Amino acid sequence: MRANIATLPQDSLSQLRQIPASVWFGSWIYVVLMINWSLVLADSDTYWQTAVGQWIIDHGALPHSDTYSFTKSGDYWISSSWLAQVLFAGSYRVFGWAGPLSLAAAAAASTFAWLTSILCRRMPPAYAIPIVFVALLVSVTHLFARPHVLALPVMFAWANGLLSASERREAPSFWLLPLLALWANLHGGFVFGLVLIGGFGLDALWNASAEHRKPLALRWLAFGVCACAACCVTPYGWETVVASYRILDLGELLHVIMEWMPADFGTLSRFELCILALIGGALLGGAKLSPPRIALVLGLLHMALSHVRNQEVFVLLLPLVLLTPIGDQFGLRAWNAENRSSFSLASALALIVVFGIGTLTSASRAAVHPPAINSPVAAVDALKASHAKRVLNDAFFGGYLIWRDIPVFIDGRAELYGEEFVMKYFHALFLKDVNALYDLLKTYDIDALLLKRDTPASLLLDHLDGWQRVYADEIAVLHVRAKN
Amino acid sequence: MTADIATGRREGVFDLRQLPAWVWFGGWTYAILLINGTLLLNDCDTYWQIATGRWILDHGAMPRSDFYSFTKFDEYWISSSWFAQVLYALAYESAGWAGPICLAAAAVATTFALLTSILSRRIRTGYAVLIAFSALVVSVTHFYARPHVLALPFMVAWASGLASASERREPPSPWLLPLLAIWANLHGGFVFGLVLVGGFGLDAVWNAGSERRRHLALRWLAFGAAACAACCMTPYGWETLAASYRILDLGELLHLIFEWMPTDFGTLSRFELCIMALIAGALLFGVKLTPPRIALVLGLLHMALSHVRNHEIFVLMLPLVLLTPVVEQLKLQAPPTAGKSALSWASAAILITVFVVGAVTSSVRAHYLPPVGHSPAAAVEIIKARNLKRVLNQDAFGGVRCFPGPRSR
Repeated sequence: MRANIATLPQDSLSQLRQIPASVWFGSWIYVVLMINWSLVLADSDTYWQTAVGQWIIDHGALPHSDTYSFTKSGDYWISSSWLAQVLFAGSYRVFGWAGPLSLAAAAAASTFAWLTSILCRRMPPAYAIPIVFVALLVSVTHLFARPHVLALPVMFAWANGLLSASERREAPSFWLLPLLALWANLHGGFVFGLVLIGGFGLDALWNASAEHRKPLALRWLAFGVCACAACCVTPYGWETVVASYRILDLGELLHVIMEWMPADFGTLSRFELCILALIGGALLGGAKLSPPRIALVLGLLHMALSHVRNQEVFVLLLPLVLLTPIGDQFGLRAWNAENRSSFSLASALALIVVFGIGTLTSASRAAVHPPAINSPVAAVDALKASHAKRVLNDAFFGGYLIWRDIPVFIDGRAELYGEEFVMKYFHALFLKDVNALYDLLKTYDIDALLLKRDTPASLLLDHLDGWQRVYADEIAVLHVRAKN
Repeated sequence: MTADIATGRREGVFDLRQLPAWVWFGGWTYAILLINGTLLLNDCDTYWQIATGRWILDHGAMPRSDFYSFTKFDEYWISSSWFAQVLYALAYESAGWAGPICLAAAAVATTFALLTSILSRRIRTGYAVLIAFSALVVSVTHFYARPHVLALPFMVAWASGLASASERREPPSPWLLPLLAIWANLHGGFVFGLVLVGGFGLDAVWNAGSERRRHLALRWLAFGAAACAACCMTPYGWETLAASYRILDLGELLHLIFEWMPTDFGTLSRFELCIMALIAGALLFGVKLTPPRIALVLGLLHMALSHVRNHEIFVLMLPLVLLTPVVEQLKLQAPPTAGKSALSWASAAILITVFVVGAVTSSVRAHYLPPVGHSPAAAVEIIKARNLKRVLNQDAFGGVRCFPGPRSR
C-alpha cells in the first residue's frame, strides 16, 4: 500500500494518504466482486428471492402462505428475509440485475472494510490486510446475491458492539438493539445474534472483578431479554423467531443441501488450510486465552465444521474474538498514531462514492445477468409451448421457474417443503428409491419433468414408455407425458 | 485404577500393587474387546483376508494374480498383508472365529498397553491412563479383525523409537529396523512409517546444535535408506512398496469406501470432541511447540481429517509427538514410581498369560459368528444350487464368496 502511494506526485499524495487502508481494501473487494459478477449471481435462489420482493412491493403486503408451488400451495409460509428481498427487488427495478449484484457486493465489501479498520487499530495494515484477505478467500465462494450477505455487516456490527462492551467490562448499550431488529428483518440467521449475547456475556463476567460480577450479570441478562424482544420487531412479530427454529429443525435434509453440509475434508480446501495455519500459529507462538474466549473459538469452529455456510461467520468473527488477547500477549501496536483508522465519515463517504460509480457502470452494461446454468431459458420456453401444468422440476431450477411465473414442484425454500418431502424427492431423483419416483409422478399427477442433464431420473425416463423427451440442451432436459 | 489395586489383599501370593498400570489397562482392553467380540468381526473384509491366508498356507506360495473375482481374473494382484492373513488363517483353524478375535484383541490391547507404559514413564499414571482411554474411545469403532490392527503395536513401537532418538539428538538405533520389516509384511500402512522417519529426522536436526547438524542429518538419511531397504524384506521384495502406492492412487473411489472417507462433522462425533478438547487445552495453557513438531501435529491432523481410517493413527501418534515438549513446558512431574511402570519381563509375561487364558476361555466358552449383515449364507446357497457362474455381487458380500471355510458351507 505504501509503495503504491509513494509513486504518486508529492502534492496530491497528502490527500490520498489520509485515506485509511480499510477504504482502499473495501473498494478493491467491491471492484473484484463487481468484475466477477457471474459468481455473485451464481445462486439459483436469487431469482425467487427477488420475485418474492417484487410480490411484496406490488401487493403492499407480506406473504403468509405459499403461492409459488403447486405441491404446497396455500400452506403456511412466511418470508423472514422480507426486507432483504424488497431491497433486492427495488434495486432490480432501478438497475436491472446490476442492482442486486451491487447491493450484495457493497454489503460484503463494507463488512470486510470494517474488519480491516478494526484490525488496523491494533496492528499495522501489513498484518491486517493479509488476515482479511484470507477471510475473504475462505468465504468468497458463499458470497451470493442473497439475504444472508446483506445481513453480514449487521452481524459484524452487532458482534463488535457486544465484544467492545465486554472488554470495557460493561453491559452493551441499548442502542445496539435496533441492529438486531434490522437483522431479524433481513435474514433468519439473527438467532446466532442471540447466542452471541450469551458468549460475550460470559466473557464480560469472567473479566469483571468479584464485586462487579452480580450487577453486571443482571444487566447482561436484561439486555438479553430486550434482544429477544427486538427480534420480534418485524411485520410477523414472534412468528419470525418460530420460523427460524423451523429451519434449524430440518434434520437429515441439512446433509443434502450444499450450504448446510458439514465441512468436507476430502480435498485440501482453503478452509482446512486456514484451520491448519491457525493451529500452527497458535502452537508456534504459544497463544493463551481465557476460558470464555476459548469457548467462543470452539463454538465458532464447531459451527464452521458442521455447516459449510458458517465458514464466513467463522472467518469474520474469529479475528474479533482473538484481537485483544493476542494483541496484548504479543504486544501488537497500530502502525502509527494518526492512522488509528476509525471509520470516519469521510472514509465512509469515499466508499459510498465508489459503490455508486460501480453500480452505475455495471448497470450501463446489459451483460450482467444470472449465469445460464441457473436459467434454462430455452427449456422453459419449450415447457410453456407444451402446455404442461404440473412440472416436476429440479430444485435448482425452482428459482427460475418462479421468476417465469410457473408453479413449481419444489424450490430452495426447504422449510416450506419439510424434511420428509424433500428427502423423498432426492431419493426419487437420484434413483435411490425407484418406487418413490413412480409414487411422486402418480400422487402429484405430474405431466412434465424439467431436470438437469445428468440427473439419474432423467436418464431413466429416456427408457420408459409413456414419457417423451421433448427438449434437451447442456443445461436441462424436458420430458412430457406422451399423448396416447 | 489405584482404588482397584488397593482392594486387593495384601497377603496375596504376589502383591497386585506391584503390577504397573499398563498391564491393568492392557488386560482391561483385552477383556472388553473379547466380551464385545462380534464387533471385531463387523467387517466384510475379514472373510477374504482369512481365505487368502488359507490359500497361502495350502499352496505354500504367495498369490501373484487375482483368482477370486471373475471380472479381474488373473490380473496382477499381490497380497501385501500376507503375514497377517496367514496369522488370521492359523488362528481361525485352531480356534474358529474366536481365534481371529483373540488375535486382533491382543494386538489392540498390546498397542494401548504400550502407549500407557510410554506415557506413564513421564507423567502421572492417572493422566497416562486417561489419555490412553480417550485414544481408545475415539479409535475403537475401527478395530476389526483385519491386518491393520496387527500392525498397530509395531507402529507405536516404531514411532516411539524414532521420537526418543530424536529427543536424544541421535540417529535411531538400527535395532528398530526389524519392526518396520515386520510391519511391511503385516500391512500396507508401513509407508507411513517411512514418512515418520522424515518427520522425526527434521525434528532431530532442528534440535541439534549447529555444528552437529550436518553429521546428524547424514546419519538420519542413512537410517532412512536402510528403512526403505527394510520395507523390501518381504516375499514380494520391492513390489510391496509399489503396491502400497497403487492403493493411494485410487482417486475418486476413495470417497466411496467408508474407511477412506473424509471425517464427517455432520453430527458431534467423538473425534470432534477430542479435537476440541485438544485445542482448548493448548489455548488454555499456551502450549508452544517447535516448527518440526508443529509440522508433525498438522500432518497427523490433516491425515485424520481426510480419511476416517487415520483417526486411530492420530490418537496413537499425537501423545508420542506432544509428550516431551508438553511435559517440559508445563513442568509436569514425573511419577515417583517411574521405575515401577517401566516395561519388565515379569509384567509382560503376566499380560501374555492374560491373553492366553482369555483366548482359551473364549474359544471353549464363547460362540462368535460374524454378523448376519455380511454373511448372506442363504442367498449364497441358492447361487450354488443354481450353478450360477457370473454373479454381480454387492462389494460388501465379496468376502463370503471367496470364503471356503467349512463353517460357511
